[in-house]
Amino acid sequence: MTDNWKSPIGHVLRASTAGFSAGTRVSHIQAPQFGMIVRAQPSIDERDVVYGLLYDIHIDDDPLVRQLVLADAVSEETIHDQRHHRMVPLEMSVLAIGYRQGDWIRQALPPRPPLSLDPVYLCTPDEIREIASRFDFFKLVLGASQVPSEQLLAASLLIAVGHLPEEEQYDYLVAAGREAARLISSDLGRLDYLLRLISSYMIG
Amino acid sequence: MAKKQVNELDAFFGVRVPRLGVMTAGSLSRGLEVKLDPQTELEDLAVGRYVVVRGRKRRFFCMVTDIGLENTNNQITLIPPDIQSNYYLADVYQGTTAFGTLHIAPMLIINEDGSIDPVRTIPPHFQEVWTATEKDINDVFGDEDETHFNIGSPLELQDTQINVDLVRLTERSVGVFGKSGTGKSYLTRVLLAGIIARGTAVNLVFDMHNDYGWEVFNEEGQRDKGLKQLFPDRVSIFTLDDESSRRRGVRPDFVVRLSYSDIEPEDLAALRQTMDISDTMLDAAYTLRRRWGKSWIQQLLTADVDLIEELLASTTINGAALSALMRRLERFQRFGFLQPQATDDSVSAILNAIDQGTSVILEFGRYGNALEAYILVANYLTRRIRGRYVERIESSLGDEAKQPPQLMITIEEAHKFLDPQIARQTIFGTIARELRKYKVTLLVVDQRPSAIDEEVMSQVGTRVTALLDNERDITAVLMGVSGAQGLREVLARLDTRQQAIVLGHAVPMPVVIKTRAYDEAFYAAMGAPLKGKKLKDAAKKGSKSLYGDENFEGYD
Ligand SMILES: Nc1ncnc2c1ncn2[C@@H]1O[C@H](COP(=O)(O)OP(=O)(O)OP(=O)(O)O)[C@@H](O)[C@H]1O
Ligand SMILES: [Mg+2]
Repeated sequence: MTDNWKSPIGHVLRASTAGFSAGTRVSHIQAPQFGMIVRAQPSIDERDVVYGLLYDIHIDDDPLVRQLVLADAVSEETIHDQRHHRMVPLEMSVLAIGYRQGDWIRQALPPRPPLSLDPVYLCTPDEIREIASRFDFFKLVLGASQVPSEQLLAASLLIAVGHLPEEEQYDYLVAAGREAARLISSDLGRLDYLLRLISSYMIG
Repeated sequence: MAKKQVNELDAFFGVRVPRLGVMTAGSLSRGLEVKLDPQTELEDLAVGRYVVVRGRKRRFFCMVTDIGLENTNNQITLIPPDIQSNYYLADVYQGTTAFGTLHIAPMLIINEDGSIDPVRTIPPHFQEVWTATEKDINDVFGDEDETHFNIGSPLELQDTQINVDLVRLTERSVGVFGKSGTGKSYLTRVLLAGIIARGTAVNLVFDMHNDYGWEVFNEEGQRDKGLKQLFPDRVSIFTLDDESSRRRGVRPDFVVRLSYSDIEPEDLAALRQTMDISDTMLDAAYTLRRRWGKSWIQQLLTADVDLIEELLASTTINGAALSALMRRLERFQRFGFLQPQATDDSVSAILNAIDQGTSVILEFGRYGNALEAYILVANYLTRRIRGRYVERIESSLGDEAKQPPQLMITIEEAHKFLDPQIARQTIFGTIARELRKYKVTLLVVDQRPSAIDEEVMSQVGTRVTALLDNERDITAVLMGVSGAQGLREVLARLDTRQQAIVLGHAVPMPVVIKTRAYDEAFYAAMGAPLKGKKLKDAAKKGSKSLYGDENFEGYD
């Protein structure tokens, strides 16, 4: 992985304690990825640093795009120009899973949401390991109605596990699977789907 | 990413004592439920093992009595996950959605200071359950010392010893049970060796199959030593069949002879089933005894027609019964050890040996195959020996010094003596029921405990039982034992050889053992002095009563 957590991947557009949306230029689409763990960093220290999982990336249309879509042939140049200068941002939706409290990250909904235009960063490997070391956030993910929970949890775990030493990876995923089993064993269909998503990465 | 086995760690660090799971439910009477941790391997568990529930202040020492499979969602049993092709699914599901359970029976409590108490409560919810460690076991069973003897090890801790309290063992009757070939004779030999080595009682063994005195051949065809070879100064071999003994290389200390004139109708009563002797025949025997005195058998066997007719005319004896009785008594003529003249030598010789603290093993030689000979002789001798014991103890007026030593009498095929139909009339039934007043107790060896009179069984203080597979036998052995339901499963699943449950008076709690091997190391240990450290301490702790005390009135 590169050091792409050093500069913001976007800024807060809208927010609630349940999560937030961040926007950026469409040309920055390389950095974010479904399932990543991100952080909204307030510009002043009094406010909470909020952590979340990136569960949706979408691009809204605008009048110009609508016109261009109807045109017969659009030059590469026009497309490039449109992407660079368009006035509608790329939007990322984030599910809040925790916030910083002193030295550690509490896995619970934040007391207050981030504010508009707070910068949003990808988490550092240390932050990822810290968050992944506890499974309290599973409940928030599996209980969220607006997100594809199983896909999101599986994607996050598989990203997180990449930051662990190789010899710990399998045991980690087993432990995570067991925690999920504890939470959703009442719905075996969901559990089975989640576990297969995780194992498809190992077993194919 | 390689699949990693938890076992690899064990292989590296040596087997540690793992946490098995947490206690989730249960009651004192029914036992406790344990939900196993995912990493606990079901296949490594076994009923009969010990586990410890670590409560806040005390350890609850428990025995595994059942192992099961449970799930948090029954749907999983309808659509089982395909764990064969996906090991990740197996690792996640097993222990979570589908998990193992243990049913454990609390046996006793180990206090903070290591002392033990009976269980009168259970630990609170969700306490951790661990495999018992060597320390846990030692806290319960104490060290080997002057009165404690190692008879085996717990199944999962083969380096740990289970010691029985030999004083408590010998002051009540003892039963050794198990199917044929499960190691009863070997177990009995281990117990007898312990009793002789520690001197807690003197033994009289009615050795039906010549199993105890001199060498025997084990299943592999090798020779194993007899007790006389281990304790030449403390064991005498008596024989009923000098020829057979000598053929086997034994030089018997005494050849036992019995006299017809000493056979009493009571001796026949003990043979009722074995020789098919009816009540009317017995009545006839009593009448004859009254009429002719001690020579009744010989007179009957030599009676001519006139005498018989005179007898039938002058008594209420029924002719058919009389001739049936004669036919039965004629069978005695095959027994070379029976002789016409009166003799009291054998009983005196046995008593002399016992007085000197020498255990007597009476070999039956070829007569061991005749059950009626075995029962007749055992009854005959025991009745007289006990008679002398009663006299001496009553005339000692409580002065220990004037009393004969504690005596333990070993009989095999015990149900033939202690059958409900005859137990009230035979001397063995009397001894079993009268507790230890007269310092004589029984060691009964049997493969059909269900055929033994219930009241007698309830007085068998310590029961050592190898595998039994007949339901009624299992019930009989466990009768009166608290938490017996759990032990049933354990008992029915013992190995077919060299495993046993010990329960009752001589152990603080029921215990499953791998019986101590009877081998060179055992012989050596019998000669060697005890290595025990805190002998006095251990003796005190071990003798602490959990199963009753001076007022023991048998199992409920
Ligand atoms: N503690 C032991 N040490 C060594 N060998 C043993 C031990 N227990 C049992 N065995 C082996 O098992 C065999 C059978 O044991 P044993 O003769 O004691 O059985 P049993 O129950 O008395 O049988 P039966 O009912 O036929 O008399 C022995 O010959 C011996 O080889
Ligand atoms: Mg035998």
